[in-house]
Amino acid sequence: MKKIELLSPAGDLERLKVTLLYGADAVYIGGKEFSLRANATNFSLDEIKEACLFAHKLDKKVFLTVNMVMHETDLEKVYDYIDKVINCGIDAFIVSDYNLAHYIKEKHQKEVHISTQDSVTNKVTAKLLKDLGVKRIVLARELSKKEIKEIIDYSEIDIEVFIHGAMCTCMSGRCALSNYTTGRDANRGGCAQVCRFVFDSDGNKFTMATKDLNMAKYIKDLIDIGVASLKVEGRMRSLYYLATVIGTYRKIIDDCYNNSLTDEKMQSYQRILNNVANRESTTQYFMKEADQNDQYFVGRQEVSNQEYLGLITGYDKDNKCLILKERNYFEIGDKIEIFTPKGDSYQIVVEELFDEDMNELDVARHPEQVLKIRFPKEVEPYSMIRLIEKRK
Amino acid sequence: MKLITKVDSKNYNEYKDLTDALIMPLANYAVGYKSYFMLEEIKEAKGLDLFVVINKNIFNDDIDELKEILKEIDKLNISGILFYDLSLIALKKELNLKTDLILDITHMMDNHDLVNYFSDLGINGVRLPSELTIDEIKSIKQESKIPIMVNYIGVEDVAFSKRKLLTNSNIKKDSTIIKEEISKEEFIVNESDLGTSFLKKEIFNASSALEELVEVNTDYIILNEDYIEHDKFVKILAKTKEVLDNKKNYSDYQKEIESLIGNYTGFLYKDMIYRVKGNEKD
Repeated sequence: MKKIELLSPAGDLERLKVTLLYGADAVYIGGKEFSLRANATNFSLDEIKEACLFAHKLDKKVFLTVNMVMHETDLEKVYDYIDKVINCGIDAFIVSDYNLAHYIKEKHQKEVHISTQDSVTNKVTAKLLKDLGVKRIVLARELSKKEIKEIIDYSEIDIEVFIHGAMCTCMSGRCALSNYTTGRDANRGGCAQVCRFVFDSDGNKFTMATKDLNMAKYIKDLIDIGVASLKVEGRMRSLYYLATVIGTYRKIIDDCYNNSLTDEKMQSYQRILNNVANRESTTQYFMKEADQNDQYFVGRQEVSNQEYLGLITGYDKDNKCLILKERNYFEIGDKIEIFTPKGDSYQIVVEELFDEDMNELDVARHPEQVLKIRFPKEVEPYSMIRLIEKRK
Repeated sequence: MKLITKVDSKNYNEYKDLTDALIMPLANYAVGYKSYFMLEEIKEAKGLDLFVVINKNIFNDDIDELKEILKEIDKLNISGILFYDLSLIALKKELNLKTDLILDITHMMDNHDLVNYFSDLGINGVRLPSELTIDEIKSIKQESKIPIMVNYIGVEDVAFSKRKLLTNSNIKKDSTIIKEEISKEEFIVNESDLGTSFLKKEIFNASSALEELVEVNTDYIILNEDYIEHDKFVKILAKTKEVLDNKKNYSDYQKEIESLIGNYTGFLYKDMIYRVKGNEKD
């Protein structure tokens, strides 16, 4: 049986490299045009080429999202874009426009995945799409385990499900709240997340914001029912977030296949995922209808995450120091964890801290400053440092 | 051009001489309206040209019952089913139904190539979303191989959630008006067992574009009575029928309609933003 795919978002080339190194089997990216994350940095044609070369060397895949709704004026350009980007080496397109799916499949014989924007929610539609030549469906997020299994069994099409990240309040593709409130087109990548705004009804202030999705404890179930791909949300998320989330799910998936996932390990994985999140998370619709426990009522819910301390950029062999680029404040006496793309981790207490010229420091307080900390050996590129415990 | 009407009253005959067809959202299978019709009620309207709306997202557990309903509807010899979920394409084939299918995918049917793709799949018409400009509507109409329905007067369908958002937010009503604090935009929110619908509170009025819609031979315009006073709506229907019959005095007609429901034109003359910061092009 084919091992389940871990699919990561990547908003730029550096994030793509990091997520693949941290264990994603495939990444989904957006080009400069026609992608639903119009405000992510996104990839130029040259960057897409480079992304594909990088991924293919690791025997991994790159999917390109061309999933915004096409208007009349887009038609002039989108076919040209597809004809050009096809030569960059991408492995599949994620689209919401069924005609575009047909064009890509017929003209270029390239694999097409139907976006969650089309909110496929049942087995008959899934089977119809398979018969129309679609290779994979990214299912609507409003489905239960039972419904997903029925769709897989009946349609025999590859099924991709979201496992982690932000949720929409409304059905994907059926929401134009952003359009009517801010003039920004939700279905063309301009979503302003109006469902997280404050509303008033008869003097009562409330939001309709959802908590995030976290399916860590049900990965084994998703493998067992035959899901093909596990998708993490967040093309605009940070390097640290992606490294942490992808690295953690890589371990969970591998543990599931090795029968080595213990309760203790799961608690540790959940702790790591919770620490990196900026909202609470639930399993939403997977085991029951989503209800009041899966959403917020009032106020802003985001919390700023301060645990990411820095990205390791090299090793000073003469001084036996890791070189890092600082992200958040830390100081001597703090307990930190160095974690690597391969999944190794080392916990140490910071006893000495230097700037790049080996001048001693007490605290690291300038984001982007180059710093050094003592460590006996070199670690892989794109290793990172997180805070475990502040000094007593 | 045909005029089709979503009615809010069950006195169907009242509309008979004012409209070419009625739109009847099927209870438990349609979302985004104020009022719905049971299958038995739809049967009572036999003799009028009818479009039945089945625009909810279909889930696996709906399919067996939906098949039975589709078989019943097929016996009524109606003008068509306005549908959202593509499962209906497969079910029509499986059940060998003769009823026309009109695709109504709310916000997603925004270009003529997509319309023509569905035409090739055997779809008999499409309803365009409200988020299009008049130029886009005209362009789609001119390039499409199948009939086009255009929202003309009525509240706009803004969003649908499977969540019970009023209950979840401790608002103990099935229907309410909410206001977004910064933009001050107001929405009518209706909750049912199927989920929660959002409608724009202002009444969309495309009377300023009627002449242009006529010029491009738009096939159908839709007038929706929901949240419009009945007497006012009947007047609007009569005026619209009159101007369509005479094909003149559009400007006077526009003023009369605006005096009844205001001049909110939605996105007809307004392009939307979708890139907030300037991404450079490839």
